Amino acid sequence: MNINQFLQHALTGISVGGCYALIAIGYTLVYGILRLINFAHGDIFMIAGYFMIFSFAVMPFPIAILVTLVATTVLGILIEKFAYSPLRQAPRMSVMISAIGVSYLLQNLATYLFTALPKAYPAIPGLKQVIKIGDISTSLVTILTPVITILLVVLLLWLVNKTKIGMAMRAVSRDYEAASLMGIKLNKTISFTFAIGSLLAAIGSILYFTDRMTVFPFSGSLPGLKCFVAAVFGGIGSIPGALLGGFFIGICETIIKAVGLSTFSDAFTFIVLIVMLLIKPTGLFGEKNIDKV
Amino acid sequence: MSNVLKLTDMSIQFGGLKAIDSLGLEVNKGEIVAIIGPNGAGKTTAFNCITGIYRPTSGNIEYLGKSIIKEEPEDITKRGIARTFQNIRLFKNLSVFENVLIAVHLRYNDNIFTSALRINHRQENDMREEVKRLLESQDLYKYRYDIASSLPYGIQRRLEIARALATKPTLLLLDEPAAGMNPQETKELTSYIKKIRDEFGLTILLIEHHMDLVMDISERIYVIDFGKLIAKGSPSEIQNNPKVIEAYLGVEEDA
Amino acid sequence: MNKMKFKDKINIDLLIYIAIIVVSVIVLMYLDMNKFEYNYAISIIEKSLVYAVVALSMNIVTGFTGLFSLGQAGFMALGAYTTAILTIPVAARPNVYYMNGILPALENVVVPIPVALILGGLVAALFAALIGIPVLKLKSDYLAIATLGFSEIIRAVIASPMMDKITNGSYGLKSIPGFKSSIECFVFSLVCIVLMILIINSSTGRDFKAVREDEIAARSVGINIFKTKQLSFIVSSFFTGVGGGLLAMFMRSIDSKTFQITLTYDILLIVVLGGIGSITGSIVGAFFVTAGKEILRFFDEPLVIAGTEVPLFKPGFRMVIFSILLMVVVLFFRKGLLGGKELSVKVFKKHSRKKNEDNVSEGGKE
Repeated sequence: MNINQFLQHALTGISVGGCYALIAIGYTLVYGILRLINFAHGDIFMIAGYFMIFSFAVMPFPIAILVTLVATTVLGILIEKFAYSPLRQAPRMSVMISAIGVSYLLQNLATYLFTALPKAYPAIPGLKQVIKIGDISTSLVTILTPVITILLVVLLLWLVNKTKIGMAMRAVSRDYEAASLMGIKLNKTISFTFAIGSLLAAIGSILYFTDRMTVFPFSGSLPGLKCFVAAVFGGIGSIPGALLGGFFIGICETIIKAVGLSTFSDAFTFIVLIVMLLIKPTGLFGEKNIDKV
Repeated sequence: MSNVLKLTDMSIQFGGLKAIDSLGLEVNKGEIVAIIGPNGAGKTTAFNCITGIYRPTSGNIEYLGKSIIKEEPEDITKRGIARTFQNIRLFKNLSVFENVLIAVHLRYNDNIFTSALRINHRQENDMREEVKRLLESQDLYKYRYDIASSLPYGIQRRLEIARALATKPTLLLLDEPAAGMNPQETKELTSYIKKIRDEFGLTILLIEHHMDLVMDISERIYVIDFGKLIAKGSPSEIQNNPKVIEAYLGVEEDA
Repeated sequence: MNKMKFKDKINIDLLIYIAIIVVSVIVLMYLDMNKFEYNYAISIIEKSLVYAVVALSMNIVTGFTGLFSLGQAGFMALGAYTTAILTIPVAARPNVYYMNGILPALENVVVPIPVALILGGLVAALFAALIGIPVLKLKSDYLAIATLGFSEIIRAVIASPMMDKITNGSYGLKSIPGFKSSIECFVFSLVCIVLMILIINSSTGRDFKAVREDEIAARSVGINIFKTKQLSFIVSSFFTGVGGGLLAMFMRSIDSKTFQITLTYDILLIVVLGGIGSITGSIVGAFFVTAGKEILRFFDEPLVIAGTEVPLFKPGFRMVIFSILLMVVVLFFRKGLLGGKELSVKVFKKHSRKKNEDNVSEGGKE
């Protein structure tokens, strides 16, 4: 591998990593608040892909993007309302099973409505434009993804640390009961968390599928799992951790594929999980989070 | 005198908070000893250190002359320390019989093959027989089929003690056994604790807020406040100790 | 006197179980004798039996120990491939491995089917032990993700070109010896199910339940929770592996796509519908879901009533219905269709006994 090839792969990795980071944040936020592995999150990401395909077919692309973002956010909120909020007092395993149930439902619904065959993802004008930097050629979306990701994370950190609703989110994730005793509206805060998670997943979905070009009912399941691992890697509950985890997994995966071991690129993610649990179960930024108290 | 339990300079720190500050404590064979102190003084934390749930930051815990500070809770139980919990921790969805049956497992030598294939089914019968006898002696046999969580509060407390007894302990730790009981029930509990001490040859360390019970039952009392030992001695000594009175009055002022 | 009562109860239950088994055997023998007529029914029964084994094995870890494992498809794949590789007739092998050939060391290795099934279970159990060490020791929360991920890794490895000479890569394996009769399938499944029931009702099984109920209380009575969780996970995976071997025998040809995540979800569906922590629930659930899926097959066909096509009916509708059913059970019947109870004479007997107990306790009170 010469230096140019390496840079090329690194760029691709950073781009994939950006998408992963956006999804991983959704996992980290939800786990932080409900201690729930939201198995349906990857499928929300997949459904966002279909939203884009269908809205793009009937309206101009800026509006289609807007519709996709809004629809996905609403979907996330609805899932929480119907499938998770009735189980607030139930054992954690019931909620996890409910999450699997939603995932199962979304996948089967997508298969039923859109068939199991991959559907072509629309090309958003300009995004696939080829850009040349020295000897490296890449598309605009590849460059744009990490930039957008980092901007969004900065925005999110501001939201979580400086606004009232952000404070509520942090309070709920620290102590559920105490927060509600302090007058924080639990349901509203949880809905808001799901809204943010789903919105970021929708943005991630647009960037991811623009690059992959097709969507099918299971295209969310594996990226979903990987992003959860990314969140664990960075330290579950930590937003910068999810960002770093996403980039780490994305870059490593791309490099593994580049050296011809693509069969094991998926396996790698789970080895990361196991190794991380062995050496630092709290993740990279896990402990910092505890110190914040 | 031979001491069963000995804490020397034991401290535990959570982040910046020193929950227990160099606590020293001794319990002698056959004694009933009480730890008292205001809420949040670190009493239950001390129990959690003794039973291995928390690991003390420094100091030592000796049981029958051996340090148990590095041992896991289950191994400490096997050594002969059993306990009950402040908020009752039963196996909620299992029957009374099963709750106690599980506690006798540790004294039988069973593995998955022998137990599943009933290779020494005499053993299973022995276990059941033993549980039956224990439940009968504790007046719980009539509840044997009932699911633990369906029992009245007082019975749950007694079941938890019976479960602890099933491990055949030498030292029994009772964490607020009289919590939520009325004076009559507390009185009954007092004689019950003495009874099991004599019957099972136990040494008992207990945490309690009901002063009647504490003064009636304990041979010696330790008083903790803010993680520190502020007094120790016989019930009458404690009752007249100005430091103790101050600690308790201080709390009442706050409340 | 009480002891006698206890023994009587066991005997009645045992008699009923034996009666059920005898009736099943007679029915199956009848079906086997009229194989051509009842081919479809036989295949549904066999599939249900295999799923019952896997569902019950999942219930050991999920329902009785309270650990959420989602590695069923992966452990089944291990069992299925092990069984298949060791039982495909030597004569058929060149034909199976027509693309890349077979590893010389494996070329002539054939073992009897029961041995192959047990080995399949052991391979699954070994992998479970390896995953269990890091995950169960630290945060069993992540067990679901780790096992789901592991399941996908197994699939990737099986399909990878490096494994061509062992697993035949993406071409899959065929010519796996099937069940000679439905009785054979019944016997294998029954042995697994009985063993699992014995484990659940043994002192080991009680330790599992104690860990599920309250970890701190379990430790306080001397249970090593890590070892107990590890044991439950290994035992469960063993039977899942055996179940995978049985599935391979049922299907007669397998490839890595057989063991996708959806397979795990199908089994979870059975466990949840039947009731988490209910033995009979898993068994009844397996028959209910498997038969239900077949009966609802017409939902996936276009339906024409009075010349117009009903729009809802098209491929995938069945699974949507099952997904909704799953959600309904999770949200409204949290204990499953059987309500977490075991289906047996005990349920009925308990009611009458309870009344007596109540009288006793009332009399006993001051």
